[in-house]
Amino acid sequence: MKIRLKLFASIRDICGFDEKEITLPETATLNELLDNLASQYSALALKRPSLLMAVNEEYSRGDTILHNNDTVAIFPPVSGG
Amino acid sequence: MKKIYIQQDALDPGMILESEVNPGDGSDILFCGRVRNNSRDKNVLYIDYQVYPEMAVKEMDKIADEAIVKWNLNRCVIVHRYGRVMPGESSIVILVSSPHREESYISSKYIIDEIKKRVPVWKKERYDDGSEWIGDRN
Repeated sequence: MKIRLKLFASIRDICGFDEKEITLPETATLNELLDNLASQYSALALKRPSLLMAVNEEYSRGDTILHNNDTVAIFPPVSGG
Repeated sequence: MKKIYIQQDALDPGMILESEVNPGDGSDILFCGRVRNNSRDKNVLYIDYQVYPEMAVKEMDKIADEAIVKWNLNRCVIVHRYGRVMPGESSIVILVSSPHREESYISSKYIIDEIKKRVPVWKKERYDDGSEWIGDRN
């Protein structure tokens, strides 16, 4: 299945891209997507405990099952205001 | 009346305060968050705000709805700026209006506290000797 992946702030800096389409096996979870990404970017693994994730603009847990054409966002703790 | 949006241009709190006034309201609380020229003993030159636009507006909208229902607000406006914001400029404006001041004071604090916890916006402070993403410092 195809997933639209968006990264923000320091996570964008670490991975070197802001947005891309990725292909994952059917029924993959958010955690599996993160495993995949962390295996490519070791600095991301260090930040993993504090990472936040959203699917289709809603905060989501790591065990969330992804679906074709979902938009996933991965980002550090927010600091707006 | 509820208005939730983000913008890159400078904010105009006075215009927000005076637009669509409800004559039944006896209190307005206008909160402006401003960029400081110092942070943790460093001189701040400016802050770059990055935002996840679709989700930020959605989360601010949810927070506004929560406050409107809980404190019976008649006006609720939240505007968050993104891009480069200089010291002294406002990065966020929150306006709440209700018949009595108690509800306005409490709801204004609720809204800014929830925004800082939930809305996907990140600031990168620029100093004389480098820059830092603020959400990463803990």
